[in-house]
Amino acid sequence: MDRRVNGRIEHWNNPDAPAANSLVPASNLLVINRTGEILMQQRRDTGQWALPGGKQELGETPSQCAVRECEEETGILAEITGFLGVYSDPNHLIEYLSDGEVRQEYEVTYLGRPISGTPTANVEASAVHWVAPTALDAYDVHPTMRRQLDDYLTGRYPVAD
Amino acid sequence: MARIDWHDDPAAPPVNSLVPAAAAFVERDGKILLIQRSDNGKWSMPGGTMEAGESLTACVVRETLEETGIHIQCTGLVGVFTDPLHRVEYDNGEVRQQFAIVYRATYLAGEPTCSPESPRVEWVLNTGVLDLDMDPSQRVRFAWAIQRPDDVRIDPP
Repeated sequence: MDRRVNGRIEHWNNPDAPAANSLVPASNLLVINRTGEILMQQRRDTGQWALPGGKQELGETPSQCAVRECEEETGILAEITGFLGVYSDPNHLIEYLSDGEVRQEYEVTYLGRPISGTPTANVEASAVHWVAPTALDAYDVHPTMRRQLDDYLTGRYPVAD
Repeated sequence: MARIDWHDDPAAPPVNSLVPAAAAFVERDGKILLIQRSDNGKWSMPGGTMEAGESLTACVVRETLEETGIHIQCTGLVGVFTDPLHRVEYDNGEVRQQFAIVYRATYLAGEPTCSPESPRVEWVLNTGVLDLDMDPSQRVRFAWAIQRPDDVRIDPP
């Protein structure tokens, strides 16, 4: 399976995908509000809905990365409350056509709760919603991200890929 | 390759590398699997950095076999261990920010076998592990794994 958008191809279990040449630690944050809704953002690059998250920068911890990316991508300041898992599927690759980078998934996903802020679209996210678990099926979510949501919703965590 | 561990030291060189790494806390009959590292002479868990094409658990299984001769199976997580103020400098110029996922693992097969990276490989009674000469970052990992078997450690905020 692959998906080509805006110079970026997401390969998943695709035997014809190019070999990975890059490994970058990234963090996600699954924020749950008091009514049990999950904070989701619609990515401008792929149009799909995802948890907030991104690449860990030098000098920060993975949980600091998760909190920073969440605030940048959703307008919500959150705090970490738990740990969902480590996701490192070598068959999930992101190919960047501009420079030939083929990045292998390596994501550390935390659980969190909101402290302040309101969902706000921004340069990276075209929309930000609180999504009830029963409404998730109406959202276009990549299967690798849906797996993380399902691990949370079914209580099958922490995950150690 | 020699390494220097810098801990919260203003003289430390700037970080230029951040790589996914994993280590294994392998327990068998009340003993823990440790290696003595050739690069700094200290004791540690087996482990290493992830390579393209493998998952992180595949990485830790491979590194443990390479460094100890022991086949393991991952059974859970000890936690996320990271400290941006702990930098590891290698003599090729890499200055790596310390960051590892530590797994719990069980013994499957094999006998302790030394390697160029690990001149000593031993099963150590869990009551004696924290007395060994080790980097402070390793002591934090062993202490958590031994004392808090039911909690997954998250890096401090």
